[in-house]
Amino acid sequence: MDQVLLARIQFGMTIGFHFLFPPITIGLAWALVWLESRAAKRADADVLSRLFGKLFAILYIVGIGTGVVMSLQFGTNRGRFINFVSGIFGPILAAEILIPFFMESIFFGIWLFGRGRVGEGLRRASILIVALGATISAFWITAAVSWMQTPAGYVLSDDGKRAILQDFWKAVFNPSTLSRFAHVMMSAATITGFVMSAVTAYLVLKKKGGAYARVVLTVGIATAIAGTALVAGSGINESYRLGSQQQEKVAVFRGVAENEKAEGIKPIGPGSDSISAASLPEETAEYPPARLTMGAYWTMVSLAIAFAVYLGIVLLALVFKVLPKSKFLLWSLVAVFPLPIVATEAGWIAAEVGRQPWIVYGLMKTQDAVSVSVSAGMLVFSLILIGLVYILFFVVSAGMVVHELRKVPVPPESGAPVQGGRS
Amino acid sequence: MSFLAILWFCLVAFLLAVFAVLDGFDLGAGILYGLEKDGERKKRILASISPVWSGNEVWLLAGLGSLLAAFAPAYSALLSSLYVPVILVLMAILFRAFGVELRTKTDNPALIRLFDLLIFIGSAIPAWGIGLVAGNVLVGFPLDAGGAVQGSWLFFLNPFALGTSLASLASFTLHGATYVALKSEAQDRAVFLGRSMKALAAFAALAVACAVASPFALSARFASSPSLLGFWIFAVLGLVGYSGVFSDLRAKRAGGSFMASAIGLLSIVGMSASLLFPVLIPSRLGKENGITILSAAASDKSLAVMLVLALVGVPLIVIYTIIAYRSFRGVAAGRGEAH
Repeated sequence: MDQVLLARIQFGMTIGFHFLFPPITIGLAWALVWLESRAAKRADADVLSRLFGKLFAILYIVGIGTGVVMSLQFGTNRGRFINFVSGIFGPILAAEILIPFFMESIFFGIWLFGRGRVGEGLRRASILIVALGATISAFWITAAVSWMQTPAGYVLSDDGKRAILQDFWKAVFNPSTLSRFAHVMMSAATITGFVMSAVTAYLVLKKKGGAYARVVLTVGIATAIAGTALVAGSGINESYRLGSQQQEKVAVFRGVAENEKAEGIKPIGPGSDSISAASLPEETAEYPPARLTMGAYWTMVSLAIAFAVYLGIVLLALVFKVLPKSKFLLWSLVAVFPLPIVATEAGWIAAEVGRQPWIVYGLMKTQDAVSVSVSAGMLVFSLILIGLVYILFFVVSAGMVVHELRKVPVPPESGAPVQGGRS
Repeated sequence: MSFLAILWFCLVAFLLAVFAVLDGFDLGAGILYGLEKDGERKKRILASISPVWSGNEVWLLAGLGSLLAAFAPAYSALLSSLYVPVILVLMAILFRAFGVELRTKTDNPALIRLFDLLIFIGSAIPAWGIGLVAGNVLVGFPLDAGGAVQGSWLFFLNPFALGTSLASLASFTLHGATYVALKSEAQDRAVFLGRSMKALAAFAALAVACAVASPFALSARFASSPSLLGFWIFAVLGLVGYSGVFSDLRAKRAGGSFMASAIGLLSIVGMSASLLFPVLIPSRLGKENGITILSAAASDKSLAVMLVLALVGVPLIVIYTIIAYRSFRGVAAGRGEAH
């Protein structure tokens, strides 16, 4: 296999794996801000805040570690790309590392190891700072990836080998940043809602976690419903934006590109009004790989529709108070939590594969991005090594999450305060 | 070569020096942790670093991130030319993160053995690999005019860089041992002061070997560096630092030896940066193929924006770091248990 393809597989694998974690941990950090504030007042809330705290810690570590790999891969695998974009990415990454990332890393340590060693006020402030830091980090990273879709605020160097910063805020708030950030954050909320519901539905089924498990279950379902509605809204907004800014991508989403010449094929869906065979870019326009892009896009859209229907049923069950008794619905809540993660990954594939063959839309092709001096053999070596390490991390962290869930104590009969107070 | 570009060269060196001092003791403590047989002592070593290591490691990202931001061609040449060792170090850093944070979250003996191994590998390989990378940067990469590596990809296994890699392993182990001594109670403190002395002896022997080899291995650097005065100032400072480590260890002063070791590490980074300036990655295949501040610097506009960000960010980081160390000051609890 050639070097370009191997480098793309490695980059796709590492970022795809990394991207499993931040949407969950950003949402869980905010959930913990709430849960820990309740924990001081109710012992059963304390049990849940400890449980979610452990789940958060495990997932957060894998997310941070695999994120570090990403920033180094710009140098190892994407040498010519980083030379091209450093004038833009440099300031954006500096803003991310120097302000929110340091903030969350340091306060994560205080929060995680601070129980009983630092004041409760500082510990609670720490998780708030972690949540804020993670959210701000996500903004900067989204700004950088959005710049690859809709570059702005730059001029090209004379030799065309570098993008030179002209206006920092124009580059940061390039035409797609805010729309994409809203969409990413709302998908994080949806995922978090489903994860919270899955964990607490399991606890309710096993009669663990006390009365507060039902409270968190309700909050989780509400978060999932709100998240799904907003992710759909921001997604429709995204497709209108794409319709005006990246027509090749929309054409592939709608399946127009393949039928370019065919008469009478009307694209469907929001944003497609602006797209028709006639208005497509000239024949010289290059399209992304159709099957993968379109498949990923429709996976995301169909899953979002399925969530809306499913959550409608769950909501009815909740309102009519049958949910806590329905084993079937509770088990279904446990089972479906990976689907919003699949939908988010699919959305990411649609967006980034849909940008191909460009790595920076209209400016640099992916085939021109790889590092010199890195051979196919080295890429095979790193691909296998990183793959094995990630499998190990995935298995161990998933095993630990399951173990933590099993360990939650069954509370004593109602009336008595729940055990597990602070140590 | 603009003033801003020179300032950023100094900033990158400064961030990497802070990394060496702060994360250096975590790496050293991780190595001692792996070698420690006594279970209770092992727990106390881990407890001394677990709350602070992640904040310390971010300094490496800040240093490398600044290199990316200010001198991207040097960043990509550094990481892609040394692809295989860099990937190994990177995976090792992940191992440590995973091991340190999750070690206390489980009571499964098989997982504990796995995490202990990950902590040891994850501390020893970076401590060794950072010296390997630094030694190779000083010797220079075999870069052609197009910036590609000529000849074998194993060029990084040259004698000088192997020497610096072992010296860096020893220097971080020493630094970690003085830190653990500082964070221990009287009985353990004597043990770790003894280990510090052994690590110092190993480091001194390796450092002398590297120093003797450097006029030959680094002749091109000495011949062309305009900042040799800076090099000698840092060299004297380094000598003072490590003599201080020796005298404080003899006097059983843990705090003093830790501070002196920190001065030693700062001096080593200072010596390397002075010797390199104004080159970032020298080439063995002709001076003109090297990557310099002039050829690699981002536009003044980018550098200025980042300077503003650094002026906002770095004071905040110092404040957070002080909060973190004050929160966990004193002797390490040994519980290392979170929830």
